[in-house]
Amino acid sequence: MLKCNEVSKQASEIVDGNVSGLYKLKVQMHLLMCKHCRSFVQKIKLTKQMVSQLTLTPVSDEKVDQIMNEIEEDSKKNPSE
Amino acid sequence: MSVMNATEQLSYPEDREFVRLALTSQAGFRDLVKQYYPIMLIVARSIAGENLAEDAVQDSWISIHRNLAKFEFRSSLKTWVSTIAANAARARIKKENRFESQEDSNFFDRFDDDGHWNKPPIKWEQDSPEALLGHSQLKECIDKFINFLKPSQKAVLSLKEMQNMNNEEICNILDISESNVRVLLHRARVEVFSHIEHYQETGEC
Repeated sequence: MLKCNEVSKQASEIVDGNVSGLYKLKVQMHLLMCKHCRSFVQKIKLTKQMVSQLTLTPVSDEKVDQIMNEIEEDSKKNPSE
Repeated sequence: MSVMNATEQLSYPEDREFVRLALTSQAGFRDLVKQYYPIMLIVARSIAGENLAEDAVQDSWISIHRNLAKFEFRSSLKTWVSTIAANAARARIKKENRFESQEDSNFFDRFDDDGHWNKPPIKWEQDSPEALLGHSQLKECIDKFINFLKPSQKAVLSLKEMQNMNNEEICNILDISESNVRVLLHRARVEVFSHIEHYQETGEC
């Protein structure tokens, strides 16, 4: 019989569909009987879905300017063609 | 698709167009920097830490500029530039125990000695991703939590969930094992979960 702390460690694997075979059956049995673990797995799933909708912090224009300048310097120093 | 055609069919058509524009105009190259700088910085931070990461990314762009015309599209552009950022970050540090192995927060205190929940998850007011992100104060908090994640967790979470890379690509870029990717991903999610729950409980970040 799986314990709650063991199921919680596998929550991401469960959400990502990476459990199979007998172990999957044991997990399903546990989730059927344990509402706390059901709730936890569901919230990890929600967390995953939410994170995938986030965007990364954009780069500032100043930083892009700085990189473009460095590239120009580099091209002058090391002309490729 | 026949085998004959497969060799002629060009991989990553959108990336090719992006590269073509970057090679033919400065504005095109700027767009490339804007598109990939954020994920490269996250990757570099996970390897070289906060202080060296920006320099590493800067090094990467010079290298990308020099080599872009030779890029053969054997991988996607984002995988290629992320790998360059990771290598530049490695070049900036001496490789040493980059990946912390300690447990985060006190999540495992939530179970008793028998492995049962003694502090089970609480009910959330928002029960869809859209509702969580639609709640502006919570959205702000979530952005903040993600920035406070350990750099290695943040890198795996960003590459996996925001850039849709698979575990193999992530292993290669970060030079870690697949089991490490899985562990870091799970810990990152548990951290974000714990912060959302804290907000649900207290109304504060």
